[in-house]
Amino acid sequence: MNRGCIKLRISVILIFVSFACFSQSTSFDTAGFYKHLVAENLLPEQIAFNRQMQKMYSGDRTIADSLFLNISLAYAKLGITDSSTSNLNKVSPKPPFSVPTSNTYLSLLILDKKYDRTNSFLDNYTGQQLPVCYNDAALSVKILERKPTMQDTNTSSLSPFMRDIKIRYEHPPHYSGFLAGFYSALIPGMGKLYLGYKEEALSAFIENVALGAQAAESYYRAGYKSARFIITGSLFGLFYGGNIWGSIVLAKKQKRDHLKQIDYEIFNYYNTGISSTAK
Amino acid sequence: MSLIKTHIENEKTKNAPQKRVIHMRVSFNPVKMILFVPLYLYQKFVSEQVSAVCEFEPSCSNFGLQSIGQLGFIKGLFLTADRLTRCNGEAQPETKYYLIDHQSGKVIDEPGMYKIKD
Repeated sequence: MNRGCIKLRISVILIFVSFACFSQSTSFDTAGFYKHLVAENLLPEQIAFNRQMQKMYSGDRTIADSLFLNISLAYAKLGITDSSTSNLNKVSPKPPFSVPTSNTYLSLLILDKKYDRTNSFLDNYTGQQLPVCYNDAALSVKILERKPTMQDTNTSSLSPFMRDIKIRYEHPPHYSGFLAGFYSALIPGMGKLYLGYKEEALSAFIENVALGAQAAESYYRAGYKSARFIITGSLFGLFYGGNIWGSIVLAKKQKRDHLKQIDYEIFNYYNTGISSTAK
Repeated sequence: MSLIKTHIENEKTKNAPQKRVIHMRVSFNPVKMILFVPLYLYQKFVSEQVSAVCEFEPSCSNFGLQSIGQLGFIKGLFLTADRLTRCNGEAQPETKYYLIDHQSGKVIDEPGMYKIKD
């Protein structure tokens, strides 16, 4: 064997050895890769990955449910609500999720206002000792549907946030429209002060006093038949009456505002919950 | 926050009118017409010239037109007067944050929110 042939053999062996040493293995760490996508909050990549997984595991319903939920969650985080909803609708009615996944699922259902589906999901677990997130979701749905929550929910099985919400929901503010109007008639702005709107009360008081002073001044200077008094007096009367009427309707609006505030806080709570699952 | 924002936008677009649309209900009530005509003229000629910056959405003139149309002459007029007392920087700090439109930064305040009955 000549020297050239030996050199060729050695170089061929070296090439194979280097391939064997440095080439990637054919197996791919799928779960690890998805964890990386979640940790880095790469949402479009998560959607593409889950779509690819759907093609691979199209027959398994349990996996399909999880994949639809993942896609829905990613779309929700991206703020594309239509796509989030359509993917959430594809999850089977009673999916066998674990507790953390169920928490995400319930959050998405509540944010999407799918209260019937939330209730039907929670009905699977009636008579069992439920995790806190399930009780929270059940109570949230009752509040959002404006149902009574007095007896049926045990306060100790709720999160501190929902405990506070429950107490506030059960004890709405009671302001009398008559009293608010009466106070406003006595002193302009006092009705709003009674309702808890300090700045609005001050603003109403200053404006009414200014208009009233103008009307009084024109009355004393020009008399009640003068055009000046008629204009300033009408304006004062309009704003004085408006303040009384405004206080009456504001008293009625208080309860509605209280419920709206609670709704907002519940949605914010669940929205923060699904946002924090990114890390 | 994006879902909440979208929720608020959806709620708003159900009832709220588009900006710069003059809401003129066709009515032959002469008392209403007396009020509608100045408001219409204000919106058409004055408001655009003075670059009015109302704190609320719908603006005070639109609120006046809507409230008189929806609630009647006296209630609507009183509610408009009440709204005018509230439309200043002094009364703004007590605005609930869920009523603020995050895109325009204005406070959502419609006549439908001031009904006596639910």
